[in-house]
Amino acid sequence: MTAQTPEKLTYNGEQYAMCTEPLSEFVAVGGKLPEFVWPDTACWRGYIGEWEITEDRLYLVGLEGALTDGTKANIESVFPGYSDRVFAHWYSGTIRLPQGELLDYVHGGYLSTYERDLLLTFEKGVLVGTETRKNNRPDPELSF
Amino acid sequence: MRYLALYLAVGVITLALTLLQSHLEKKKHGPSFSETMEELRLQKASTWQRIAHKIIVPVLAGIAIICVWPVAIVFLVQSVIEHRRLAKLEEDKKFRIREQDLIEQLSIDEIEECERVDDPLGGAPDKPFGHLWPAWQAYVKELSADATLWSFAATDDTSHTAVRLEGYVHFDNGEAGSMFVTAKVPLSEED
Repeated sequence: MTAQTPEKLTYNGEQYAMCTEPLSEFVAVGGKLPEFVWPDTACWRGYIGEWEITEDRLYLVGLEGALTDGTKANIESVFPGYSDRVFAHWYSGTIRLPQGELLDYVHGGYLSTYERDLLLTFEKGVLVGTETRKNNRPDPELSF
Repeated sequence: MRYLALYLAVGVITLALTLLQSHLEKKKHGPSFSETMEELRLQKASTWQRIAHKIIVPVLAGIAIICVWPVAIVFLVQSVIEHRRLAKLEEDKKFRIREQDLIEQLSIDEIEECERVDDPLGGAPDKPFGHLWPAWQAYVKELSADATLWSFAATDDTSHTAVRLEGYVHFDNGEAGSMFVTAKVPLSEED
């Protein structure tokens, strides 16, 4: 799979690229998404979400994409009645935010390695832990 | 001449059965990954390549099936047996909640009380399970009036990435029924 266009996250006033897709978890726990058009193989999911963390809670604050019926997608396409922000209470897990220099490019998913990863752990949409992980350049003999 | 006509008629029936079987499989499982990739590749292919793929190849395959239908029947039977074997394997592999995964028996009202989502910025409906309220309603609708629900926490290690699952399950006489998952976290994220 081609390297995927990341979602965006604003945290402590800074914008990051996310290697996690919280809307996939929404589907995994029973939520429904409309049918998006795949713009290209770099965005299989068909949309790009914009997220922010406010008062330790994860919110979806923007959504770009196109639906199969030809209309432009926005937050309300997924959450009718919610145009500004949606609390991601369904999300439990760790969001990975790569930082620093690109150490190893992998043409697939979010497999590329960067200098550091900021890991944000959530329980039911609430931030419960942060950690910075320092990465090493992968051993070329172990790379695929 | 009559035998030839009969032979070709059986070929046409075999072709119809092959198409029906392929249609039913697609309806049941959706397009396979390779079919999806092929579809994407064709979007960028030339008109001639698209015509070859969409018309010429299927027509030639259809003629081949009509002409050598005994071979096609062997493939058809093999394909049906293989699909049944894989379906059974899938069923055996399926994750099921066990008794030791259960935490507490709860009524629907108790669950709805403790799963109410409250967001100070108004980003979720003030309802049980918030944006998942319609999914919960659909789940409850499927339950019988005397259904017993339990909260659970379990590890599903049936796929290549083990996941932590939490939620509610209908459990009766030692048998787990349908479940409502509230958290699904890959365990690799929790290392």
